[in-house]
Amino acid sequence: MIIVLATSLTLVAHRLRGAGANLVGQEVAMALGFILIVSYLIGRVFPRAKLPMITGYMLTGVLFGPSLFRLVAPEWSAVSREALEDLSLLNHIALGLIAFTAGGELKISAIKERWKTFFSITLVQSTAAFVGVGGMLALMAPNLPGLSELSGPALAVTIVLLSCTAVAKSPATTIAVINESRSAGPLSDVALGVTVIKDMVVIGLFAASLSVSRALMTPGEGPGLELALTLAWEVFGSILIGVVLGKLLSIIIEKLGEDLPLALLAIAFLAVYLAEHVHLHGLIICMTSGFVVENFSPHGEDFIHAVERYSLPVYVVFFTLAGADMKLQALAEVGGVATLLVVARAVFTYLGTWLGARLVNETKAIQNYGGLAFLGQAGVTLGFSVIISERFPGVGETLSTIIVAAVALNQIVGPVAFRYALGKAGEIGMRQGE
Amino acid sequence: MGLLLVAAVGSSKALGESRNLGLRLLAKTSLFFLILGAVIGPSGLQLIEPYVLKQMSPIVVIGLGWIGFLYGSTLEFRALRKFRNQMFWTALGEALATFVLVGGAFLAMAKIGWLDWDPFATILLASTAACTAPLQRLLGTPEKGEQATVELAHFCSRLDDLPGLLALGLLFSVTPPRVGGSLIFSVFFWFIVQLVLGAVFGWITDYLYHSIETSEGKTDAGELTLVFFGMLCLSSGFAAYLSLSPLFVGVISGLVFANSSEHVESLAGALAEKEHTVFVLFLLVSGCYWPFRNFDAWVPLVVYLVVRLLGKVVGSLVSRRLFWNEPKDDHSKASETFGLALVPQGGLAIAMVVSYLWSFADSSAAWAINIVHISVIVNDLIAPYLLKKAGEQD
Repeated sequence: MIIVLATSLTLVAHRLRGAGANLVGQEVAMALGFILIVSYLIGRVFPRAKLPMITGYMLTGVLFGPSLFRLVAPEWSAVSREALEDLSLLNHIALGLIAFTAGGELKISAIKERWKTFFSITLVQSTAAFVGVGGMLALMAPNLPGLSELSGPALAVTIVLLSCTAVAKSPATTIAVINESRSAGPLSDVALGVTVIKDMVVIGLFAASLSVSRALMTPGEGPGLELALTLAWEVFGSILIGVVLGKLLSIIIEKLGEDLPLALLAIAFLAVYLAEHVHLHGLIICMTSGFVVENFSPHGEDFIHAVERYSLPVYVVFFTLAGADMKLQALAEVGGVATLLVVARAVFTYLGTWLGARLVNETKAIQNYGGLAFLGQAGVTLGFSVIISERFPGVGETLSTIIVAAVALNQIVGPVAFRYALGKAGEIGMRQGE
Repeated sequence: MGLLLVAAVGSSKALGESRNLGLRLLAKTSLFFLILGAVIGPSGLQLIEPYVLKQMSPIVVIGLGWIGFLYGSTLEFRALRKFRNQMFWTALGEALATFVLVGGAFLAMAKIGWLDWDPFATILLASTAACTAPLQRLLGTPEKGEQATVELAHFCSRLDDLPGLLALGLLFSVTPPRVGGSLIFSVFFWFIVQLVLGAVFGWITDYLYHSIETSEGKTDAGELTLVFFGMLCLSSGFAAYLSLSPLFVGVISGLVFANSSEHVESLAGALAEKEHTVFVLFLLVSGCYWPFRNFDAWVPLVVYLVVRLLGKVVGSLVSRRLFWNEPKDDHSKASETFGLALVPQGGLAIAMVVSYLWSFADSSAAWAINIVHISVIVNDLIAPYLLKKAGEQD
């Protein structure tokens, strides 16, 4: 009833005000309220079917966002394209707060205990996904729409870049599923640790792939020192800034106490600014900051509690906007190739995780179910698709569409698979002190 | 924005330890952030990029609803019924006196040609003049002042915003599209719409709380916050989208919630630590929209300050003498200058002008908005001295 009422109110408001009315703050506030209430109510139903709530949030975004709803009511959507753009800053802040949590949940003791597992799974899984997906695409390219018309360097570039995106995953999905299911245990630790480390590996791999691709498409140009420096700056610069901000946050926690939420917001703002203007990586900055506060400051627990107090609305907003931003048209255009990419990625990720865990004699739970923890994809991969479409006019657009479609599918499948894995590993609800 | 926020919070802490009581009050009431917002905003040093300000604009709409809701939730009838009728008459009398005096002063200035006549701005100024800052934040324990004075001043500060809020609600009933044949009917219609909207949103908030209660009757603080915040955004955004007042709708929502829900205390607990954050952000972003460049309405400003002071003092004095003339009445012992304690204006006055600025965005009323902003800050700075005088007995 509330959902119907909220939807009706929004529709009435749009009708009364009329299209084209310039009411930025008002519409965004209303869209935000709609997202929070309706997504939350829909998301609450999903755990009854043993599905994660964030899947419900994403579904709400898909249902009420501009992509699907314009098919039904062309002049209306609860979350319009304009509102989505105006909510982008909030979205980035939400991602920053999620990244704080991800970094804050990663404890040095867990790293010391499982560093071999983290290293092994990251390496083997990344290699398996990259090589496996690349090999599969190379074999099947002549039969795949969108790829069959490519040849030579263009095809090679397509395969390299798609393989690279297969390695990326979503830290936001990982931490959200762990937190909402109150999970704790070896699988949760491994999933979080590998995700955090892999984020940095993926950036490096992507930059290297871009370099190789550029060399293939324009033979006269070599990879160049510039790219290596850019890569190093993006990763190590982000880590350095993250450490500085983490230290700053520690001081703020000590001195300002009750204004910690403001300080967290301020640091998140700063990270977003640095990411946009100084070509750093906001996610790495915030994860590093969270890691530093948790592990090198006496106020780690205060910090985690402060962030977690806002975690529910942050997840609702972030994942609903992710759903609303899903390009369903892309799915319709290149759904076949995207599905193949998703399946191949899932298979090779699973196998890579299994092998990586087996090599270090990890538990059966991690061997058997660990692979399901790494299927989700989101912002990082979408960011890659934008870069690809900019750097490689022509083939880049096809690539970008395939990537976006694959991410859409992985966004739906990933959280469900991870929750299933946590359930099978017996880690759901095992978090102490909640 | 991030660096500025961190620096602002730190500076606010430092100000809060200042020896100057006025500066300490500025920090304690968070008005420091309003000034900071003005300094860094488009009218000041332009340190905030326009696209950032645009994307933060929903904070203003949400903040208005928040302030309104919190105010409305203090109007619990069960608690208010414990007070004697004379308390209500005193508060109303003082508020109406201030409203009429300030409104009358600006009408007079328009008649003699000192100002262009602007009925909306005049009503806005009169409404904000009646407001008083919540005194529990300013006065110390009752032992520091006479009990009767303190209680009377507290009560008046709690209720004297109401006439101004009602006037604001009527003001916002004028601007939506005309309904029916006459202006009066249209105003009445939109006023009722605001009341109904507020009531509906208040009821829905309570209904949602019931639905998230566990079987043991407990509620998760995170879920409470989400539901409240979501309803706030929806109601404020909806009201503002229709050119109605998110502040007024918020007050009605809070009032309905407070009087129909069993979850008032749970909500207060869940919101307590977030209130400061939201209020600070609201003031900071509102400050960015403060159009103080080229302000030259100094004479109207002085008139506003002086007439408001007179209204508070004279209005409260007359009310005290009218309604507390029996020696056996406890509050007949209240100081005759207790009206001085009602001079600090508080956040609700800022919210009213921001609400007006947001919905009407008419530069011709910029002078009125500037007057109220400056008045709130000046009154906060002189508050300690006035509070001391208010407590002095005859």
